[in-house]
Amino acid sequence: MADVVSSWAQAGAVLTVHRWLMVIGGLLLASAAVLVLCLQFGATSVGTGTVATAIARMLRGDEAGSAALETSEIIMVQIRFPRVLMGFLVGASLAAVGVTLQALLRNPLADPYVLGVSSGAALGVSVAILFGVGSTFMLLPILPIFGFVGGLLALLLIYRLAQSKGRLPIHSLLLAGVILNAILTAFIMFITSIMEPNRSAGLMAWLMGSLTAPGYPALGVFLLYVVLVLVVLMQKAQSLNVLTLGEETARSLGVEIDGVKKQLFFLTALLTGAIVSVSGMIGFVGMVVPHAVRLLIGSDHRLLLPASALVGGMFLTVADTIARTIMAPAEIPVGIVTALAGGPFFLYLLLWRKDRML
Amino acid sequence: MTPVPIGATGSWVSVESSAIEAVGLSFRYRTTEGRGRMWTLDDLSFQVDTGEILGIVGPNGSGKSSLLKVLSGLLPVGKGDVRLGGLSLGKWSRTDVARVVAVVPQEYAQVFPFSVAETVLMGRFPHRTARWWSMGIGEETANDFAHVHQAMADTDVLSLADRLVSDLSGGERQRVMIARALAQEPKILLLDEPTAFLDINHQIDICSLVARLRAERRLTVVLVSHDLNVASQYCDRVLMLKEGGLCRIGSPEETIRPDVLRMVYGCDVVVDAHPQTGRPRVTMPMDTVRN
Amino acid sequence: MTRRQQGILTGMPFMANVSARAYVDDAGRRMYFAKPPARIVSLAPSITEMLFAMEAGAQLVGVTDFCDYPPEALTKPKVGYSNPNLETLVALQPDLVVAPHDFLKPDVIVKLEQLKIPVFILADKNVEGIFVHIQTLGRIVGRSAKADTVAMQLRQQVAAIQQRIQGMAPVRMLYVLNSQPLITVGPGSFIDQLIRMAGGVNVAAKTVTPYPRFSMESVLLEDPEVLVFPVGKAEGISESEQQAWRQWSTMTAVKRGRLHQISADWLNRPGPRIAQGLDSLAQILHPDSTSGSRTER
Repeated sequence: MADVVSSWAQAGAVLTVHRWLMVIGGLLLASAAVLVLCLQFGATSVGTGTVATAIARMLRGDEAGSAALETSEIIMVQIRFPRVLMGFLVGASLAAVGVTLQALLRNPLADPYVLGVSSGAALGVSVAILFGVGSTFMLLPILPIFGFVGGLLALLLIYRLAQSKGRLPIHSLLLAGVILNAILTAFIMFITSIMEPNRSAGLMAWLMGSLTAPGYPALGVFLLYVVLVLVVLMQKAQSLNVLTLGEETARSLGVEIDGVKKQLFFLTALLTGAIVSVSGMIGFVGMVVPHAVRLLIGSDHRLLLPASALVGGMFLTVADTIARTIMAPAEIPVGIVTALAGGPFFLYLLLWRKDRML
Repeated sequence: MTPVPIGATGSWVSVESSAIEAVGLSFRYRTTEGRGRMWTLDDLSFQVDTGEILGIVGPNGSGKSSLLKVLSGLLPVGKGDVRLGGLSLGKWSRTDVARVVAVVPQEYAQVFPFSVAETVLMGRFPHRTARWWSMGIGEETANDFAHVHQAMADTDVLSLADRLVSDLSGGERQRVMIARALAQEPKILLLDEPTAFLDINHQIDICSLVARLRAERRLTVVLVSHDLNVASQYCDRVLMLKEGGLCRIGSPEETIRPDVLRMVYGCDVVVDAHPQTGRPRVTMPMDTVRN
Repeated sequence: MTRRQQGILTGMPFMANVSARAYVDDAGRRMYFAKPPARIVSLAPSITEMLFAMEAGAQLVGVTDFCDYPPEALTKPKVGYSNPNLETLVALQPDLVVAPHDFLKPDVIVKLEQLKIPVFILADKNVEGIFVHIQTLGRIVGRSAKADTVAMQLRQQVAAIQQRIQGMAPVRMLYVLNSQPLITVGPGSFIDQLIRMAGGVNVAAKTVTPYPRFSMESVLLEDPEVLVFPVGKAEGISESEQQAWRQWSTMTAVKRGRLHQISADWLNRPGPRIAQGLDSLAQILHPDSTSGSRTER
């Protein structure tokens, strides 16, 4: 029986440990390579030589001699490295949320911003910019804190709107998200309209999405947060698989649908709120990367989720590298690069591979 | 003897003669409260014997699908009780129910591309041992694979194992869903309109498959059908629903009769005997033209 | 001095006068005024300041929400800013609307033309252009004497500033228009010009757009000696944001503590106070140059 069974199992019909390790291992290596490569590029011509010496100095704890650090090393350590890392984290989170929401909502068009939490976070930041609140609070940047609180409030509001008698109907969730998006975006537009034009231009620039180099305390907090949420999400991968069969079938297979839906909603909303708080709304990553990865390696979420996260991280890192080098020393919003890269690819998927996509 | 739900023992402990029992079962959707008909299912009491094939028939809106969902625990009971192996459904955990009862839905619209094997493998979900630190990769045991393999063999989809479900025909898809249900190692199989949307050849395949599975795996089968002939040919007993109430339950000969049908469907039909099996066969009368 | 002599002095071609009472605005639109308009609406704070400077305040019947200088401007009725309320505007029965080229919604002009309300558009290209605008407006509203005086004084002020810093090495500076993301001024923008006139070198001089997002890496590499933050009532960079710049301890500007604030209104408004802005900027960049009175913020 064993050899007969293994025939279709080995043929790639189902996910095996071997395949998982190969794919994830390969993607991890690729991610490391991409990170190192992107550290090479920037508005200034600081390269790997600097990377090496900078890291060496950092490791030797040369803080006391930080005045002796060359500008190029500061550029690498204080600006480029945190930004590249941040880009990877944001891209990974966006892709992971996209995969989860597409499974939860059983809709291939779902992306992280469909929940409505993103406009809450954006509104929080808009309010912060409107009132000109300061820049940092206890070593952490203030804008993201306002954004995160805004996102939380939006999350609670959507949950209250969508849930009924302890259950979370998917169509209510979608509807509440759409409505809240519309209302909160209107508030944001109102804020930009009453702001002095220079300020409002700054706000619009932020909303368009941008990756700025965070300080290390903030980066540490963000890293921890993202990793935590992603790990918990990964636990739900099998449930996500079963969810795609439909809620009733999933329930008949023993999935605690109500609990799982609520957990997934909270996890994705918390992650989306955090992402938007630090980077504005960067589009296309959350929707296109899941499809691209699904096309290549299939729909099993145990592999799809981590693989999409890694590919999303790489995608955004590369896109941001392009965004900050192509018109150097100026930068273009990273959302433009993701849209220009993601748009045509999405078109290709739609025109030639939609049978495999859906 | 007190029946024990499936646990670590993995066996159907209760040896009562009824697999499922409905006792004064009433149900209604929250939205129908205070509107028109009070109860979607009204005070149903019947039992499904172990190893039998029970067919649930009735006009549209009579509550057939709802009854199936309540029996499987997908919808909550309003009044009364449903008992699985003698124990009230409310006392069963969802996972335990999933290890005993498998539901095959009416149709399956796949949103994302999964292979046949992956889909059937999902039927093993209730049998997984969940470890909180792992993602469930590589946790499928040889036993899991064996069941999946057997299920695919029984439903004759083994050759399609690595094909995408979305690439299959309606009949093949239905067989995959049945395979997924079989992978759950159920004792009870519930099918919702298994032959709707299928061509006649596929209908024959499915029906004979179900009959064969009942014999080979000693399953109890409850199937909902709007097709009276399917119910008549393949079921041991037929339950006739009318507006949520139990109109008649009995053998096909007892239930599929012109007088009963007139009462339930409100029209005259021709009922004769199937030339090969002798079971009731329903056909439309000649003078169906109404002015 | 006659108009012609003034024109020769500044070296700028006349664009405004083609005949005694016909004028061409910066959008190439030609208009004719039989007599000076008595009811003027200004659609930019700079224009409001210009009109008050030439003592035409009495003729002003409508201003924008952001017109706050001189204080008398606050008493005038408001019509909005980039999206002015047309009803309010028309209700004021203006016989002239003076509008800026930028920041205004395009269809407003079209609508005003439809309503047969004369609109005179001013586009700011450079500092000298401001003074020409003042003179032109002076002619239109019948205050040419005062307007010419104002223009002359401003030209003298600017010349004095440039004289003052003549020969001094240009100072590298960064003008922080917005912090997150970092937006500064580039070639083609007004402020970039002012930086050069004040004896500075814009570290973003190599960009191509007037208001580029600038890379922090480039800032560090170019190493500005001075950081300038615009501040104001409705806009500007907050205190703590400015303090956040102190983390870049290798930057010359931070090492020398050269983080300065400047009134945003002075630099952003292409009006009479541009000379004050220029003076302030020059003092920031070259504090050693002897100056007249210290202008306040």
